[in-house]
Amino acid sequence: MNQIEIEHLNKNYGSLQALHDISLDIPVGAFVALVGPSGCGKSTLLRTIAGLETITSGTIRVAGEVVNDKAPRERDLAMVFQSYALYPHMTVEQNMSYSLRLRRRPKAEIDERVGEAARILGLEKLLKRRPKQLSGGQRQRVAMGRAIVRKPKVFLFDEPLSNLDAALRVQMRSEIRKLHKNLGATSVYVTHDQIEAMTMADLIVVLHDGRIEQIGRPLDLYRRPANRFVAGFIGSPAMNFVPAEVTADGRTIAIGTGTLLKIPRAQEPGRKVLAGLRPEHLRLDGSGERLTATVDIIEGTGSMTFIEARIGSDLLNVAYAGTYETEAGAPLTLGIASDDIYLFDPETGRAL
Amino acid sequence: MLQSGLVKYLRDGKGFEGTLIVAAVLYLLVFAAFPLIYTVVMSFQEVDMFTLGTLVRPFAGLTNYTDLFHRPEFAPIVWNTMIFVTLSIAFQLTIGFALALFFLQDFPGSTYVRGLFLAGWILPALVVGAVWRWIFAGDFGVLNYALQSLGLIDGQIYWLSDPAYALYSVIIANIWLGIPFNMILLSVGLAGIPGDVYEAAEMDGANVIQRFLTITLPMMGPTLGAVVALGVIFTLQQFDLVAALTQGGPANASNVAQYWSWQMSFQTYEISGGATVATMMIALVIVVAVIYVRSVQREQSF
Amino acid sequence: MATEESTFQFLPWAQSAGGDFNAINTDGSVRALQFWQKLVDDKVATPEVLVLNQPDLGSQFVAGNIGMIVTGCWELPRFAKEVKFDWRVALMPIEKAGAPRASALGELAYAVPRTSAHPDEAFKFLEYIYAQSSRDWNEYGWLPLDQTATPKDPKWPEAYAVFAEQMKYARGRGPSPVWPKVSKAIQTAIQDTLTHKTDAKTALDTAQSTIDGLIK
Repeated sequence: MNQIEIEHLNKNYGSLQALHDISLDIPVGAFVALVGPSGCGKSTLLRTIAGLETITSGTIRVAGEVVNDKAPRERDLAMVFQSYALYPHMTVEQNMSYSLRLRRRPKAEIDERVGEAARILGLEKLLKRRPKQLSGGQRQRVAMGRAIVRKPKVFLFDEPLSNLDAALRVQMRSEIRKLHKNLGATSVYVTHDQIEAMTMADLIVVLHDGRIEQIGRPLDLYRRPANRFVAGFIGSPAMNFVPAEVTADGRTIAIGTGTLLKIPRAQEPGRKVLAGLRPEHLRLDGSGERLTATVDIIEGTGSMTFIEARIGSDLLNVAYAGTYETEAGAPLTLGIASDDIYLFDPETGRAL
Repeated sequence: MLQSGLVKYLRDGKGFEGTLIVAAVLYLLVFAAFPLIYTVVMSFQEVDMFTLGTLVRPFAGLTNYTDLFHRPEFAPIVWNTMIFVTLSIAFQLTIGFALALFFLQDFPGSTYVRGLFLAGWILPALVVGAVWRWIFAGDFGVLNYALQSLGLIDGQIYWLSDPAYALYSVIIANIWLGIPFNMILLSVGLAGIPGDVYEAAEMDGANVIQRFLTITLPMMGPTLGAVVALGVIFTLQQFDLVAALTQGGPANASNVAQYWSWQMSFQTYEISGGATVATMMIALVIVVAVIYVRSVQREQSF
Repeated sequence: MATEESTFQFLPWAQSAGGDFNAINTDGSVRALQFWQKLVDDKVATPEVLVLNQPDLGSQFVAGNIGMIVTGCWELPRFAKEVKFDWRVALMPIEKAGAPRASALGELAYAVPRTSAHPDEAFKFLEYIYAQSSRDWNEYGWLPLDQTATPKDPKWPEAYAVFAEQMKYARGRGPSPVWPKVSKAIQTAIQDTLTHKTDAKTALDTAQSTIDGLIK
């Protein structure tokens, strides 16, 4: 059963089309990440679900019911904003109890639910404070608490962690994930950070220029990107793309100055392609398909070594788990498993 | 050499900041503190036309005050002033607030129309008074003509010369004059409320009225406080309109404290009486100013 | 309106009926004020007189909204230029035949400060000013106060004759160092009566006691 169903949704701002024919099913209890670069339409999509933006055409259903013309407050969705959007004139407690007070819930119930949310989020000691007296992380928790007390069908998150520092972000990532598991509600989470999406989501929706590029589980997107955009967006550091040509037998491609690499599936001979090689798949021991390169830049962090290598006019980023010592200008022999070579149509970007 | 050193000191050194401070302090002393204290001092002295030229005059104690309280026009004028201030501010604020909310809606041309409203505010009060005098004129006024054309009244209403209407006519003109200022200040306050706070409230289940009552009003609290305080101060110094419309008449029906003070000081030359009224008004304005400053501080605390 | 102008307008009526600023509650003064009150009550005069000043009322006359106006010769240049109907100047009316005529003098009062270092020069200056009286009428439309002054070839000779005649009965107001307060008392009496806050007799009695207190 689906909590949210979106069919052929279009959203125009005047002549500008922000969302193109979006269709998406979000199963009950799923944690779905909407991910993409800024301006891709992910926040707009979330806001159409929330009802904060009208839609131009299409249908949105929540729990089987069409909500196209319903006001946000009639949709029973809770939202955590990027800016937190806390009510500055209310205490933490009042912020969290606001929705319940509007619904005229009995005081005992309000106290209990606010108390519970505060306990879960570790806000018990801050209940009497105003948002201004809180740190960024604490404000973020209050914003979450405000959503939790409502026990809604769906949580909508609009880049909730982007204003936090890196360490706190990592911590909150797992807390939100845990919370989601405990509360069992459906979550839709907008982020531009593919690592957040990969680590938190059950299902990732990759958006680009107002279109859905691919929907899938995180590792499926990593392993089988549907196109060049998803391949380049998912994975860190990003995939290398090298122009290549399929050889006469259709089983190998030639890159750079003529290096031949065996490919997983036969292709049309002579076809121009883009070869996608993930930095972490390039091995420094030269095993598998072999490439000869020159070191341009080397950066070591101890646990990881990043090398920028050159093959002819092409640049390749290499990520090696461990330490490796070399210097700029030194020759480098790289290897890659044939199965780890991705091929894309240079015109359409589609995976081959 | 010395001279260029001084120039350099004034231009680049600490002398520059010092000059700015001295200039500002000097200005305040000469044009604000001195007249204020001088007025207060005069309210305790016997002052008439013949002792105007000197500073040392007979000390009068509180006789100026007791004399004032015993004048037959004292109570009516105090009452008029209270009505004038209360009604002016109540309507300036509500209409200004309503207009500010109205222009917050993004309809085509809203910013231009809002700008046009300011035109009323930049007009000198004397000009506004002259225009309203034509509107309110009893025999050949625009307002009477309009009301008669609409069949709302039969005879003439003597807006300015009928003691029952005169004060309210001045108040109406003053409300008109004060609305743009209220609207702009309140617009600025409204613009300071982040849009996502409203969205959050909407998601939390608040309808339009609830959003206004629980988000807009409390968040506008400090701004409203400041606007009311400024309104009291501006209304208490609204002299020009009274002068242009009724000159406090007929028979003091529309006389208010600020105009009375001027009448005594510059028409009948009861200068200590005028100073006494002014001093009491200063005391009131100081109280209001303190509220205003508090209010502004609270505004910054959000 | 409640300014010096209303005292200026009222005094001749009171004086003609036997009152004056220091005897403002005489029967004649009361009758004069009652007459004013009746003018307004009967809508012969607009209630706007309570708030309009002389130039405003002059404008209403020019516009043809007012048929009769008590005003001064300084309006002559304007009226001569702008009034589009046939109009004349007449002497101020009197209560009954034989009653004294009166009119108000709108002359300036000059003061030479006690501490002045040049009192003689000040008087010479004043003499110079009055020596120019003959120019008042033709150049400014003002009636010369100096009875010996004779403007050459006066403009609007008919009007001049009336004003010159009226001038014989003119009296200055005061003068008194407390004049503004005296005047204020009279203004208050006029306003209170015309708005029916009180009757003419009470209003003028109040004014009289105020004035008595002022000039002793």
